[in-house]
Amino acid sequence: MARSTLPRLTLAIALGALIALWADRGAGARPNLPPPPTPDHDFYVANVAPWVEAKCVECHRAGGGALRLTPPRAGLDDAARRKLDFEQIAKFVNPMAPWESRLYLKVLDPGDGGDPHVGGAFVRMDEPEHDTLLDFVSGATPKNLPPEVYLGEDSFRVKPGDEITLDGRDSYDRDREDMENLAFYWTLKAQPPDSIVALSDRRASRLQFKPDTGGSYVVELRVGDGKVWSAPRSIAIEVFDYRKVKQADPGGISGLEKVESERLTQIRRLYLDVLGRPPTPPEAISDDRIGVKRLAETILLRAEAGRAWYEEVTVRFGLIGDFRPASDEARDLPLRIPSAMPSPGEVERVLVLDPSFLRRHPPGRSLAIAIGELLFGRPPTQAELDTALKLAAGESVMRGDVELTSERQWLREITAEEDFERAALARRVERFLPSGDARRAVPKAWIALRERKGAWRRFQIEVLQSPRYRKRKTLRLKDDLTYVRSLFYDLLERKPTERELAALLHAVGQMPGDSAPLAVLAKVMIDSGEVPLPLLVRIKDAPRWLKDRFLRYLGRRPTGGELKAYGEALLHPQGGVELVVQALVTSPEYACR
Amino acid sequence: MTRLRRRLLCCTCLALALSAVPAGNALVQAKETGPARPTHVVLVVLGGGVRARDMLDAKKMPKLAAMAEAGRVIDEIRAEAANGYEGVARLLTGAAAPVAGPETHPDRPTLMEYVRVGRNLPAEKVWYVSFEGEDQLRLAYSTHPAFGAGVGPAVATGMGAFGEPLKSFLDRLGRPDPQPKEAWTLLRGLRARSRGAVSSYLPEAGVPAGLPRSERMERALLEEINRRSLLVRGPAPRDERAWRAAKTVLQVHRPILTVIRLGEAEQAQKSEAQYERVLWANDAGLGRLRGWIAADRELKDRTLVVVVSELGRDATPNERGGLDQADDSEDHRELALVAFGPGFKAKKGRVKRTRRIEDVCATLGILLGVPTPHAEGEAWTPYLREAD
Repeated sequence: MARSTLPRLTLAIALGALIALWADRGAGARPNLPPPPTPDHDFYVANVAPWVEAKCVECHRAGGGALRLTPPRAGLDDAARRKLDFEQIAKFVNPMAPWESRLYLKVLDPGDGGDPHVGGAFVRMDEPEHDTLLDFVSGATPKNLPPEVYLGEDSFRVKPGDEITLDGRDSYDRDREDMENLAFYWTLKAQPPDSIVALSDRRASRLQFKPDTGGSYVVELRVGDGKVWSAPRSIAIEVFDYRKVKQADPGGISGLEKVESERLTQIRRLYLDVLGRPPTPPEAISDDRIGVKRLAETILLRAEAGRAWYEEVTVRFGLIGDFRPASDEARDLPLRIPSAMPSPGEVERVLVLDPSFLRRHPPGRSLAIAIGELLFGRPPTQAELDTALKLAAGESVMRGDVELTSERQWLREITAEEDFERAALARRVERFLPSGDARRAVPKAWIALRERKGAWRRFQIEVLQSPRYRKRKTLRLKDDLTYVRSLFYDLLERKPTERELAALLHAVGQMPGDSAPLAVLAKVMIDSGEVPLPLLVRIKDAPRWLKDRFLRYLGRRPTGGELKAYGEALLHPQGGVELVVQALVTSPEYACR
Repeated sequence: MTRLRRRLLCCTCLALALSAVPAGNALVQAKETGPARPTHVVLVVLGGGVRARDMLDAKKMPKLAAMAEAGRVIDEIRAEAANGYEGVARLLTGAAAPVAGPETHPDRPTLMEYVRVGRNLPAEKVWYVSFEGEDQLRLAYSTHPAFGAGVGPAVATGMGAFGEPLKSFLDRLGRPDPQPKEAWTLLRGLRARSRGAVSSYLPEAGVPAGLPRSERMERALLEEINRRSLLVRGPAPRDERAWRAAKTVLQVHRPILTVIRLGEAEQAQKSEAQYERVLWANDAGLGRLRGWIAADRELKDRTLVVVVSELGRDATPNERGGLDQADDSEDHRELALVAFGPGFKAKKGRVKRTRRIEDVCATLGILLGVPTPHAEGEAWTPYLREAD
């Protein structure tokens, strides 16, 4: 008996160790570190409550806004009231990403990246109250201020075979000058599906590793001060074969004339459809050298592709600005998309089940409309309206065999169904194909989703490499998000920040159904002086300059007639360089992808 | 039917008909021309507290007086609200009882929500333009579960229909240069060429061939930004910004319902003279509004403009020379409404019958052809023309 048990026990221990090792190796592995600290009541009472009571209570005790503080009442002493206030306020803190907490962003001055806030009470980043607030949301206590990760850039790009070095040594402890006591912990949070690379020294202050395959890797760092571990910060590394292209002079000739017209069109289409923006001239030239087919294989694996899809869905659901998703799952989503390749249904489900969805589309008719229009692309059905109204009135509703008692449960039920998955899939396929082709492709996509892991990724690559996609003659309107991003890349030559995108989409949304607001944005950018444009007298070869601008903005060469007309406008007393650029980026053709 | 029964029936009908005619309504009616129902309604709330007698005083508000002369005046409208917020809330929701406080949305649906639901309209066809920042927008839609944010109006604040969300962007990048007329001509020509290039492709279903861009809208938005709406000066700068935003909205969208909420008359609290300057400025705005409507082919003759206050002011000035809202006098509690355009029966003279401010919601609901089931006010059907 004892003899037969011993080998089994040894085997079990070995297996257990292997499983533990494997679990610690893989993408998304979570070490056994304690979670980041949550807000502390004593710190609140000592440091934050006086400020809250001076600035916030007038509105928020009277029922203003989402933060409801308890109004004064008999028998409620100061200590008890502050405890109740703390409990309410703590709900607006996100310990996993304190810097994204609603409490913090609501009172941060919009000029420093804060959210719009009725009533004001803003703090600027250089004010002491700002540091106190950031300490509070980061989980400070009267005896300890938590450490903070600093990684510098949030993404960069290397070539396959390059070794990566990530440096966490600029991380700091809020209440200590020396950094000697800081502990580090790195996690490989996401990696390409066929990668098996593992991190070697997770506890080093500088991490080195060599990606084993092309794609996007996401590495996360937490630091500890011996008492608590900080919230994590992550960095995305894109590993791709790219060619360095010499950057042309700002405002000068970009070099796109060397790229063959049809290939430029195909490269632009891939960028606009997958990344939601046009390629910069150096990117287009580099991708032309590598080949369009290779680009179609790798573009979906870029971290930017995940971010672009995530933003597309959040904008469509209205989950931007004050309604930005708050759950850990939603925050991880942009990173998961290029590595784990979740299905469209999974992507949308995470965002529909995020608490912000119900804040943005409150119970009742508003929710029914959101379910009908946003999830299924049709007006809400009478059954949906009835369900929404009954749930809002606190009644339960039978839906098939399931008794629904809350809106959240209803959303869970809806997003678990095949209809939802198919509708999300159709939306995603329609991003790439004209609607007729997309309809025909959906059944195949559905089968791909149901097949083994990797089939969905292969399906997308097949679509992007198909002659039907590459030789598509159909123009499609850019959505607002793609148009705004295009203006930033084409005119300001940079990506927009999250805040800029939220504000501009809000502005554009004020005037629904027309691209005129976007034309106004273009004019604002052009007249800002931040668009690198040459003086007219510096343009030595006007036709060449005009051809270059056509290639930059429209991805094609101008016709003879266009060259003549634009040339005349360039030299016209009321025309000039700015007007030519304005005409191109506000043209109906630019509004298409 | 016997003769007696026939007589009784005739008398009953006559009595019913007479009872339906409000007191004072038996005066000679002017000739009613044009459509019986408006296709568009602009409701101007002279917020901040304006007395009926000031509204109807041709020396203080001459343009409004001219509109009243050509349209219809309904006075002795009773206002029971405790404050301006509640007054507007009662006006827009038709609630006869106090509604949820100023820090949150009203709990009853607003006229804007009724119109969007009842007519199944997209947001850009129903607008709420307010004189102040986003905190004033709480009156735009309710928390009522059967209505709410999803069917609320499009909103614009005093920062402009387009300008407010763009504020931080404009602060950083600056405002665009005005575009001369010749530059527009050049742009139009160049864009037309691009349109030709686009139409050589097979357009995707749903994408209009040639993708017409609304130059009218573009010009209106640029004008709004160029006007430097944040730098407006004068006796009522915030109201002035609201007028400008309203102009953009009307020119661009031609909404079915536009509610323009002004509020600078609250300056009366400090000075009666300042209050009169605000009224003068708002009167100029009303004159411009009349001009914009008359100049627009779609809005002209089909738009009803309703001007009303939400609460009055004290009959006599306080010791500082201002006008409070405290004396419960007729000046404080009784309002006037001016209706100009199709919908109301044209009639000289004023209707002498006490009405309530909350009746406005139900009345406009009838004119716009939508039910207002949660509004407690009584529609003024005797004053409305029969629908065609």
